[in-house]
Amino acid sequence: MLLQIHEPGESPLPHSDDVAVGIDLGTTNSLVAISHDEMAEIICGADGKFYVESVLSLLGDGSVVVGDVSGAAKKISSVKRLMGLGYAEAKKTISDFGFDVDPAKSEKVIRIKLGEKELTPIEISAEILKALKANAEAALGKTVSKAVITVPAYFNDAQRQATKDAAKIAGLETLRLINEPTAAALAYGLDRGAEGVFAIFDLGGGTFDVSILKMQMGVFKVIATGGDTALGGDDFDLALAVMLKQKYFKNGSAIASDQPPRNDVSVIQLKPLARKIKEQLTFSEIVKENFAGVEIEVTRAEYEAIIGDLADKTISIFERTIKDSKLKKANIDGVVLVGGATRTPLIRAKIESLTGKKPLIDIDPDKVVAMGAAIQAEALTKGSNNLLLDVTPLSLGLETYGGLMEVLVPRNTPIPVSIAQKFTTYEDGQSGMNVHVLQGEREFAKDCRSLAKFDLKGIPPKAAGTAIVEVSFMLDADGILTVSAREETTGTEQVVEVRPSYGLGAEEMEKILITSIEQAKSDIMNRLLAESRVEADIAVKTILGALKKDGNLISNDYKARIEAQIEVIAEAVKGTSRDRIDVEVKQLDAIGADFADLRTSAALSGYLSGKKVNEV
Amino acid sequence: MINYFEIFGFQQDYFIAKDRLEQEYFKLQMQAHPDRMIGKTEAEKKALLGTSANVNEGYGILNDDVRRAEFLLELNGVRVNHERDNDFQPSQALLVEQMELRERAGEIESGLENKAELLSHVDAEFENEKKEFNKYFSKKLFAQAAESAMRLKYLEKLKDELEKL
Repeated sequence: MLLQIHEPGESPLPHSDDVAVGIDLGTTNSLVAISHDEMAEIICGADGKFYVESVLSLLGDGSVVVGDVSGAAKKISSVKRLMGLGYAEAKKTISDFGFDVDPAKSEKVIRIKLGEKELTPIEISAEILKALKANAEAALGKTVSKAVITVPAYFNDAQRQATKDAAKIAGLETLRLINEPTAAALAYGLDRGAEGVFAIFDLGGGTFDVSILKMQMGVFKVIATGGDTALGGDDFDLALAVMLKQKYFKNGSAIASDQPPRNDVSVIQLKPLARKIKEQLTFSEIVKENFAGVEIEVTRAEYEAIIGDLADKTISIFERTIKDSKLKKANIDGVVLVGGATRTPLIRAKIESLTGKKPLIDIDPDKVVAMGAAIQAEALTKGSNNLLLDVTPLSLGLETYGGLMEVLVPRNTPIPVSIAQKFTTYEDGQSGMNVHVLQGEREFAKDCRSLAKFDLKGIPPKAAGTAIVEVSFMLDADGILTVSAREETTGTEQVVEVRPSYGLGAEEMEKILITSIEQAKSDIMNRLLAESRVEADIAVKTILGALKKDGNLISNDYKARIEAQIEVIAEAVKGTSRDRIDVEVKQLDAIGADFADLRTSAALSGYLSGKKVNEV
Repeated sequence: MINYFEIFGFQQDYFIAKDRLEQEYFKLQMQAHPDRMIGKTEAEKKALLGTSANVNEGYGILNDDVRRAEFLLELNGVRVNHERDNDFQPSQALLVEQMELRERAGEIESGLENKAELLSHVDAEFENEKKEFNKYFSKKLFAQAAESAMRLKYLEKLKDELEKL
């Protein structure tokens, strides 16, 4: 435990009852953790699992739950891959979503059909966050409203903003978005007391990041980062599933002429089996499984042959990042592995081959990111002696004449960062200007990621070229862009209207938030109503049982009064007023009080005379 | 104009101890970074956001051999290597030299030039030019120092492009 040392004059740490958690919102699985004195602990759900599947399951009764429910009518998974994307962009890397998407409405944000509803990846991520929040609140016995949430280091502005929007809908204040490799470095560094230059190689379900950090004196400084937000273990599954399909048909036709292989077997259907086989191949050289009556065998060599290209892709990104860092491979003290897919023997072998060092695997690759996030959440609410200094992963720039991308902030620039650019008018009396902001490394604007279009309004009408507007582009510590503008000659702040190219617009976000709050209220009301109904049911069953045994103790009139009240309760239970049900149940208690007394006396005298009441 | 040398606690010399610079950078961010702002109001945090960005900017300038040279000149009223409004232009000799180096770079693909050799040559010239800059600047010979800063920039750009090949 580090001693908190205050500099003279520094204000003391505030009393903080705020409990803030760390959340790893993963492609395949999500986790929530909490930290005390820089020791993080994963919070489990009621089912004892340390993670929640990042899946939304539609059940038979039309309800939607978070988690991978076997036998569910429909499931939506891996939506992290769709955050901050429009349909056109998503289709470039995903040929088959595995669920229904409405292309017509999905230009700026993907719209997924689930039962009666249409949901965006942001809303689905919000459901997952809500489930994690609920688990944390159940475990801690407190309200949790603040979180540090991790994102892939290579996430662009739209993807980051989408993550923050999801948190907002889930009722969580995002204290900070931190990059997954940086979170892992923090957890690893504090756990091992490691100092020096480390590479974090993070291959998750759907995204890949590699960051090179210098860890020294409590400072975790990112030197360079690279990655691919559309590369992960899911792609290994898919490649293997394709091979399994071929083997299924081959083996199937060879075996039986009376039972030919089913034509309708799709690659998507084979993915769960592919994942199972993939995991077993980590430990075995050969795996045999059965699918729909057909035996399928896969060797590690075959598997490595089909994932070879994907593995090489990660290595070449790693090499490029080392180059960006301007360090030599020998300067790297260690490589830390993060993410389930780094269990793949081929990946480990290639990393060792590249760096000459055995990768470090002594910290759980599935938990380390959530733990780092929790430590940072503690740091931001209770203070800490550590500091994370991160960078922006993608160059930020503007579209200029001829459709070129002019870089304003190069990739791997430390954040926060602020760059000012001067613009002038090209027409007399021009009162507005628009600016197209992009992210990416390509020469042409059309090949980069469109972030937003900014309209500057209220420029004082002057001769062309005399009004000078200085536009400031600021990337904050979350890596998200804000823009402000000032007209130099008059000194007035300009109105900057942002039109993000992707994501939920402000209006739609408002609507969703209102719905979400109402939904939360109605969920609570529904639960309370259900509880009242259950209590009423128990009360009625109890008294009916008592009447059956001891009905002879009371008059028929009295019995009739009790039965009449039972009828009243039956009517109330059919309605939706919880209060009404509670009142009528209380009334039943009141009416039945004398009967209860008689039963007690009878039981006592029966006992005294050696007889039990139900023998009478 | 913010004098980053002052903020980081260094004399206005060209050669700088980079280890010490990095330590000062860490110390400054420990004070200025938004994550260290617990207990501060939103307004205070917003005001300080600029400071953390400034510290990053300052470190970027002082840590980079070319930008540091340009910055030292600018502190002395000499503007060089900007898009426009420069106080000095590159000499004919410098332009010719750079054109020749680029021609040589162009011949790597065909095999007439060796990439490693050329890179090594450019590196050596760069290291040498740093000493030249220091020599002129410390004597306040700003015109020569400006030419030196321009040569440093050209060589750095060429080095980056060669490494991409």
